[in-house]
Amino acid sequence: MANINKKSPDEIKSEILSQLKNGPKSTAEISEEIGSNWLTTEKFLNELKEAGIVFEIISTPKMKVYKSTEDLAFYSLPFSEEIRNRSCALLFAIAEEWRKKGIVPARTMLQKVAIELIEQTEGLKDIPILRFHYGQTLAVRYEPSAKCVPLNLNESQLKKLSELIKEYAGKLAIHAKSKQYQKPGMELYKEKYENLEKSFFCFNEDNFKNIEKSLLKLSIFYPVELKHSFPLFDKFIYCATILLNLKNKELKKQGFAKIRELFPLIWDAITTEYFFYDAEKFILPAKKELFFQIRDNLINLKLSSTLSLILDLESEINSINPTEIETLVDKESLEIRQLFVEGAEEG
Amino acid sequence: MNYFLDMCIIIFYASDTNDVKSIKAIKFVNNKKTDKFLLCYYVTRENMPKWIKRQNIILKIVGTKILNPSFEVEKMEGYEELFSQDIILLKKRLAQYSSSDNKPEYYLKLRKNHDLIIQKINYFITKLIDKEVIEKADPELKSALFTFIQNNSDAITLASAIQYNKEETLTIITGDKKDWNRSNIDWAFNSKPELVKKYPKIPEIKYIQDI
Repeated sequence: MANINKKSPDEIKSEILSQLKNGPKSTAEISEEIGSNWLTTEKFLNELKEAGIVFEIISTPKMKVYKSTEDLAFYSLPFSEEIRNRSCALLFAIAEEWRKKGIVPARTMLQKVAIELIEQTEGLKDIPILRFHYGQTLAVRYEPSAKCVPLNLNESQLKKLSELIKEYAGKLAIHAKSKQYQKPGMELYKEKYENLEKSFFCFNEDNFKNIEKSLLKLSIFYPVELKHSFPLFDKFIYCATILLNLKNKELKKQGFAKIRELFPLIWDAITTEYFFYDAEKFILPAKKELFFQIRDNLINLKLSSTLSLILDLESEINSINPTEIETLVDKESLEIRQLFVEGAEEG
Repeated sequence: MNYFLDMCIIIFYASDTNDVKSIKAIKFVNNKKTDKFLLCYYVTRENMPKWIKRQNIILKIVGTKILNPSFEVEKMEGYEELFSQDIILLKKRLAQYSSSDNKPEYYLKLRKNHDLIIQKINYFITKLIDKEVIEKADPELKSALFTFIQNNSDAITLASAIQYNKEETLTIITGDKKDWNRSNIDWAFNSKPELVKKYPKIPEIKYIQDI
């Protein structure tokens, strides 16, 4: 009698995978959903992990969380099934329309067109738009081999999509990115793309000035809500300001090389935090704890590895004799510095 | 000669302005040679890091306010950590911005000058200080000084100087004639005669503007 309802290993594995279809889950959650005990569930999860079908994203003494390797959500965030399905289906619908014109669109281009379609038509506004490394994106990536039914677009949505495809056909994704960066809320991206990155490729005095100005502008555009990355970013700006004002040209060149090397790491940390910041409002309360765990794990990892590099650079910079650094001698700068003196006298 | 420095000397040095205190502080530091510069731990570990933190908060608030003029500074992060004199400084910074002939460049200049000053402060502490002294100021001495100075940071720093003077004779360098003066120390000692026995030698005080 006892063996009548016993599930085979393949059935259990299939049930586990089915559980992970809509986002990451803890061993305890899976075990409860499939009606197997914790040990059995963990055993088969390990087998699936070894086979490269699932991936452990959180491993603490109290909790293990797994995701399917086919999970399309960025960072496997626990978005709702509806968000996942709608976002994925929209990307597939756009790709399908594009292919009808005989073009296979780049993934970045697909994301940018999806954003424009959501913003410029009715009926798609429930699909989240999130800021990420290269600007705005959906919550999921496009994977042609994934199983997904394209979204049924209505007439006006199809009309708009057709216009967008016409606009972007034959163009590089950077065209769509550049257009996106003109929007309010995208100033940080715009400054990076239009000024900083272009200046990063030249080693001359004028460019050093442009880079310094652009980095300082980034510090104005830095979003106040991104609190985790701010200390790192702030130290980076400090280091960059000093290195780009060294009197010795050779040392300045070396300093510039360090800035160029570090900047992508800083950008990665900031825009990862941006993604999580935007994503948070789309996570259901029951999944918030898991979301925060994924966020903290990932952001702390990124921040700590970059912070150690920045701290080394900062200590190098703090040892530079100030006589080797250019000072500003204009009237306004003197007035600015005079206020520091006033603060010191009172403090 | 052992010079025990008030925190303001480092800021005068780092600010590099046309102000007499700044000019004299730079000259004083550049002529260091075999002299020893002493700082108390309270300055290096607590007071200076807190001062820098408050300057960072001011910088951030000014940047945010310039970008979003409708933001209320009082509601911005870190505002509650500012002292009353910092709030005056913040308002002066915003006034500086409003009267700037080149508003788009003002923040860039502020940030750059801020970073250059912080670098000089860090350089000073890591490279020019010969010894950090007095882990914890004598609470009795500090408390007696506070009664007359009415400034906690000054009372701790001055107490540290008087305390270390027992181990090595030193000269205090400050720019603050109002609080760091012999009269305040004498009043403090008169109020607690046991301090006279404990600290029979009072260090000499020199003012940077008079050097």
